[in-house]
Amino acid sequence: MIAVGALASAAAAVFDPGALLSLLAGVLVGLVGGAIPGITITMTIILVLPFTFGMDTVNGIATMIGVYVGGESGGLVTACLLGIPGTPSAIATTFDGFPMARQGEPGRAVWLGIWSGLFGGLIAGVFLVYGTIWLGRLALQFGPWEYFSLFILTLSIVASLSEGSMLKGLVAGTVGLLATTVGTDPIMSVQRFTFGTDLLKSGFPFLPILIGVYGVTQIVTDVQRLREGDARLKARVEQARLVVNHLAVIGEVLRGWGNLIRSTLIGLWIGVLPAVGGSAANILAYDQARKWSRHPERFGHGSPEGIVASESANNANVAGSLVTIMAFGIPGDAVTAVMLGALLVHGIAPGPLFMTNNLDVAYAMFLAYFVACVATVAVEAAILRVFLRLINVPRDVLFPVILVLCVIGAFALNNLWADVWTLFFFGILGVLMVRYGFPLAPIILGVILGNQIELNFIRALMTNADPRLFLTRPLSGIMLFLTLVSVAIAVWQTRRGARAEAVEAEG
Amino acid sequence: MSRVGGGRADAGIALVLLALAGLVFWRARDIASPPFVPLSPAFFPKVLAGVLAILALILLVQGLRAPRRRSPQAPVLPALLVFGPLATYLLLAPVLGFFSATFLFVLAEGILLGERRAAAIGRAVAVAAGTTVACYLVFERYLRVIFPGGLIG
Repeated sequence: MIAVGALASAAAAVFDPGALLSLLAGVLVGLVGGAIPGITITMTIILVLPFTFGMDTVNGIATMIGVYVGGESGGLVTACLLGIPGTPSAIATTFDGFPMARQGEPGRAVWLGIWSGLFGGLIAGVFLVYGTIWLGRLALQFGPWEYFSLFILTLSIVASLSEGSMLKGLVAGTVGLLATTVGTDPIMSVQRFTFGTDLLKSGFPFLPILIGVYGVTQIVTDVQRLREGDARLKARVEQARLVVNHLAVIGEVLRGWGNLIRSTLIGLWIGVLPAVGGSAANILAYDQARKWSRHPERFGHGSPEGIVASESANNANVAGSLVTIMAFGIPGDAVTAVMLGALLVHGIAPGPLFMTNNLDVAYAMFLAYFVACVATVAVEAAILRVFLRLINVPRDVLFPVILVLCVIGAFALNNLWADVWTLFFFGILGVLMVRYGFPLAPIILGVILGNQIELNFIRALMTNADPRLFLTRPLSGIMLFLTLVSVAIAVWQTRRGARAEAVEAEG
Repeated sequence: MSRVGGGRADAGIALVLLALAGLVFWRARDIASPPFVPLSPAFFPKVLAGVLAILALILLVQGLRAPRRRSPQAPVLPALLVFGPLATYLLLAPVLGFFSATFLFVLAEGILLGERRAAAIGRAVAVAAGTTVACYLVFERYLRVIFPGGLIG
């Protein structure tokens, strides 16, 4: 099942000293970015991306995987020591990590999280390998009808699960799709909506849009919080005593193997499902751990089971979402949308043919994932004290530097200054969208999937002009049915929420 | 960032979206259609414009029906603090050169966002100089990115 030749060449590429070093650097930056409240993993990935432009494919992608894996783990440090999750993936870690740290065991809290993240990540890694191969084979049976329906299903789930109203999510997704119709059309290479300017001939470049909508918008949000004196952005991590008996902590994690495996599976499942995202995985796993626990009363008061559940789930979630990206080319949430963007930048088009065409790159990604899981623990063990200082960098120092990196990221891919203005205007659009309650994830997904949706839609109709095939081909029909179900559920939930709000207002 | 829910704002946005859908329909007429192709390149944008128009109409109706709410304070100042210096930076970089513009931008943004004390200003100068040198070494020297040169560089 595993091609030895491709595995050997992948191993040679990943274990090359230069590649290992950049992967380690990626893990370190991911850890720091994930730990700093206000700097999300998405933002960290965006900021690291331009540094990888000049690298070869495997090197660049291994670095990005390092950032992703490190970022998922970084959030737990601030979650335990400050009670503020560095990223949404560490929300449930605060529930027990912070009380445990306040009870005088900060080292145990942090290391329980780190070790369970490693074990959860490694178990999930096995699924990453076999799941991608298996799902990739399934995806090979897809025709343009199934692809179109799958993309529409993903977009509708993202829109309906987005914060705020589903209607606004759908609007955002449609606007994202419309943005991809500017420039040369993907089938006949005809110019569309260029308004006679050369600048628009190749369309809006997706990376500046991504950076503008996420990066710049995030900075404006953070600057507002900073001016309002938000404690999360001003909190400082004090140097704490984090020395522990590692064997004892590992024993504690492994003795609760049922919790570890259950939480890992939940994280994986949420990761594989398009659009649900890492922030749901840790909370769901935590909730299940409490329900199955013999000591549910200890949850919220420093229960080790709670930390293990949350951290193993969010690391497993990375593996799950990588499966979906690699096998189908579909991002699950904002972070994975940016990861997909990173792969595209490095000339990799994930999807059903990805494994067939790029077996060595796929293996390199698997290996990089495993190395990143182990490297995360090694980096944290080596420099946890320095790392705590890095978290305390004042935000007024950090924000201007981040904005410069955003500008370089938008510019450096094509060496076009005009791309930087795309970043600027989409930054303004992002701020307006947040202000008026429009979610950001659907517009990015629309921009990333737009050409693929159009390509498969037109291909399907050119192969057979009968549009009913979208409904009558079984897999395609099921996915379109699920699209309707997801929209219906979202409408029902919105109405129920509105009714409850009205009753509350009357009461 | 504070969000604004429902009401007139949504109705206004819906009108903008309807105008956008109309613009797409109108401009789609000018898209060349190659011969012997059953589906014109204008087809997909038109479908999207149709979907957008329907969604915008629903948003319009919802917006008009929703009770009026007091809008929370708009984040005008934070947006100006980011986009003002950023626009100046983007305009200056091709004229002055990327690195001098970067130094000025990081310095200005550091002073605007930080506390206006002598120590804080000193720190902003150090951060601006450090960022500029690091960008030069990492991106121009090591990664071979060619930045706009301008008058000073």
